[in-house]
Amino acid sequence: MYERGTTQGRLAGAASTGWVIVVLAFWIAFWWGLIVVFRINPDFLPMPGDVVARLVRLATHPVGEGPLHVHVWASFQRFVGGFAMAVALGVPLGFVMGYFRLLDWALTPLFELVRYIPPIAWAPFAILWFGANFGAQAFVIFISTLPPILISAYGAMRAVDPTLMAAARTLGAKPMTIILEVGIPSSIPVLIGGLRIGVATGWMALIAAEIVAGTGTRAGLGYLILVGQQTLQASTTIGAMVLIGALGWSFDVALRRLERAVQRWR
Amino acid sequence: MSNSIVYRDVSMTFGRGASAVQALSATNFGIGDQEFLMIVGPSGCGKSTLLHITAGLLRPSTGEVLLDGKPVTGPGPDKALVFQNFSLFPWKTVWDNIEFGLRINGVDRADRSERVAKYIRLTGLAGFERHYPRQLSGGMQQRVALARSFVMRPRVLLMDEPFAALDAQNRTLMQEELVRIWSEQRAAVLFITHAVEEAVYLADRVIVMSRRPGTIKEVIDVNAATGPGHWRDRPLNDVASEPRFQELRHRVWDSVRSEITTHEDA
Repeated sequence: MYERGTTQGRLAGAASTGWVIVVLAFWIAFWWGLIVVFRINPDFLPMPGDVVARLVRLATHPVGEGPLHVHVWASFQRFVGGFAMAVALGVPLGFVMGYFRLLDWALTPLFELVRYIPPIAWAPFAILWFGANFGAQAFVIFISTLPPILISAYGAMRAVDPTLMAAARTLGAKPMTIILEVGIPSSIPVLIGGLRIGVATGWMALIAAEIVAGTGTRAGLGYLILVGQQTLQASTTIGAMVLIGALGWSFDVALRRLERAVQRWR
Repeated sequence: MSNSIVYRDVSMTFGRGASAVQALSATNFGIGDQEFLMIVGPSGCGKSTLLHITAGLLRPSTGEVLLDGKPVTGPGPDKALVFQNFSLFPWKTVWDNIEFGLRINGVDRADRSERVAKYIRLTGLAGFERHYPRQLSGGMQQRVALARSFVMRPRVLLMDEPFAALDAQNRTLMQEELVRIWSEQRAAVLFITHAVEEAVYLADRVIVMSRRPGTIKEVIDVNAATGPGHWRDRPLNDVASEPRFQELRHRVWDSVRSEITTHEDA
């Protein structure tokens, strides 16, 4: 009756935690071996150990506005701010568009167009409107995560089993009741898929926004990448990149947990 | 006997112009106040269309349906519909499924509990209140669907091949259950089926429909054949061997079969 899982879901689902650790260990060893065998200059590609040492040092020694946790927290806040706005607007709007055809016709072409604009293209306007600070960065996250979230909420509502809606109508349900009591519960699998895509695009857009639109503040993981570049510390840049990857992944894991938790009836 | 439902020149055409398909040609008849009316006919004869028009889910191309003298303009709990695929809300428990219609129609909590409990007892679902639909067999799920409809105390009960998805034993049990519940809470019943035996066993009158565009081909008065003690008040197994039952079943089947064969020749 329902589609289960996206391609990402299947890939992630296939890997147990132990297996993930083994595979990552293998690729870290491969990285290390590459440097040793080809005698690569550490300024060009640092050793895994150097990256870890750099992260440890960053954790205790401030760069820009503070030590590592300040940068992680700054990026996290911006991301959550923009993402929460996109969810707050995109989910209800998508559901309503999926149910009422007139809104669908009026708004769908607009979102079909907006979704193909790279988030970072909004940076100049974001800075113009909000200044090169939290507002600009959160706006870039918002604008990049809104289309996937809205489109998935819309698609989820369109995909609701029509006989379930008919059943609710014959029991006396009005449109709002149908959206709340039939549309939303049966949309959750598709919707969470959309949130996961939103997390991925939004998190990537954030880092880009911090590099391009983040000159007003000296905090964030994107800022650390810039610092690494400007100070010729390749280990700082790679350390920030590793953290960005790990945090993005942990958001996805959290959403998958949520997905299972809200669907005990399946 | 007064009619609770009256069809006046009800017809249905899907699509427009060259691609238009007439599903139902002008239909006139009435359903008695507490009558059990069965409709049989070949696939695509418009019997489901007729049912959905009665439920208010479809608007007829011409004519109107009157319920207690008032035209049907939309779906509502006075016209309960039982679906072939049960159409239970999979994220709601048995209790919550049955309670849904009462809750959205503003019945207060105490009254709701009492009525839900009554229909859970009546349909033999006691002990399964907290189960989700997927944890139940097909027969149990259809009991929940029956309870969900009967709890609304509808004026007319519309049944769209409700037992077609069940195996033969369960189907017989559910037919007997339905008669038992219906005897306690009389309403007009419009019941659509492919199964000729089911029609002859349950009905006061059987309507045989012609192939598309559907019309009423024949009306068979089962009550006249059974006399005072109706077949449905005894187990199907006892009735099935009676000559009069077999004779009537034969007659209805011949009528339906001639429609199917003409259809294939065309």
